Amino acid sequence: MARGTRSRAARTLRDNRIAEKEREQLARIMSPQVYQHVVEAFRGPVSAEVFGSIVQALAHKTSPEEIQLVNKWLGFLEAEASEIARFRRRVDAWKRRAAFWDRQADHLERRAAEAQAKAKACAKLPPSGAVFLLACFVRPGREDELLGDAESQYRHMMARLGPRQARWWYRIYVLRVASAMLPGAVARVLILHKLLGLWNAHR
Amino acid sequence: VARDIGPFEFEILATLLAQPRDAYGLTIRDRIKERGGREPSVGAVYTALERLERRGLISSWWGEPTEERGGRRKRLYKIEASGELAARRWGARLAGFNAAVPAWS
Repeated sequence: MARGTRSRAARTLRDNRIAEKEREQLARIMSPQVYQHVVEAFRGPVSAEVFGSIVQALAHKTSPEEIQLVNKWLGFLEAEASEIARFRRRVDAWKRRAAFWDRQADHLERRAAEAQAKAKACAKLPPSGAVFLLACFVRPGREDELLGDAESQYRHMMARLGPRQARWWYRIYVLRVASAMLPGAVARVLILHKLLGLWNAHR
Repeated sequence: VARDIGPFEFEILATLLAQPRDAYGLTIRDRIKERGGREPSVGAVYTALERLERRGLISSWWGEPTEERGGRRKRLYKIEASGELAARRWGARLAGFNAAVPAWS
């Protein structure tokens, strides 16, 4: 809270305390309806009608002390009304801020739920790195056969052992298959290298 | 042709003879495991299948993609007449050895 705001609020409270006695005096002077108006005016912004009704009700009181008292009261009411309006504006700002953070929280919750769903879906799939490695060793055109067989076995293992162990099983499986297919893969790379060399020489 | 195939290739051919329909890499491996009691390595099965197909002893074609395989297709295998002949020759040789075994003991 700003320094000026705090001091203004403190001043208003002090004035209110001073006004307590005067309020009692005013209650004695005013008719009960008018006094009710004044009390209500404290709860919300003071309207011109309320001021008007207070002044009208007290018009016949000609004593200068009483007029001074009424004027003082009107000053209090105005100050309080402006304070209330200011607090209301601040509350509105807090509400807007709260709504903003609510929206942020909703957004994050949604993101978290999406990430969780994605992680769950990913757990159903074999580890992508291992799949890529296996695809590197398979002879071109035969990927569906080997990767498909591996995936169906992975699903079977996942049902039997759970996702964590199944993923490890898959990695070991890939290493075993890759080690068996390594000579073929190396030969393919060498042949390709040779062909590229011939092509470059031809150019 | 019979001389060219090895014991493991014979096992694959025998499996294909016993299971003429819907045989693919996984089932062939499982059958060999059931019959022989040992688990052949995955790579060995696929390379042997490729080799046999290259020699014309078996033939293969693509099946339908399935959800269980992540939308990938199966490669189905079928034994050819030459493969059957090679397997029978191997079988006959084994039967000869088998008959000789009691005489050795």
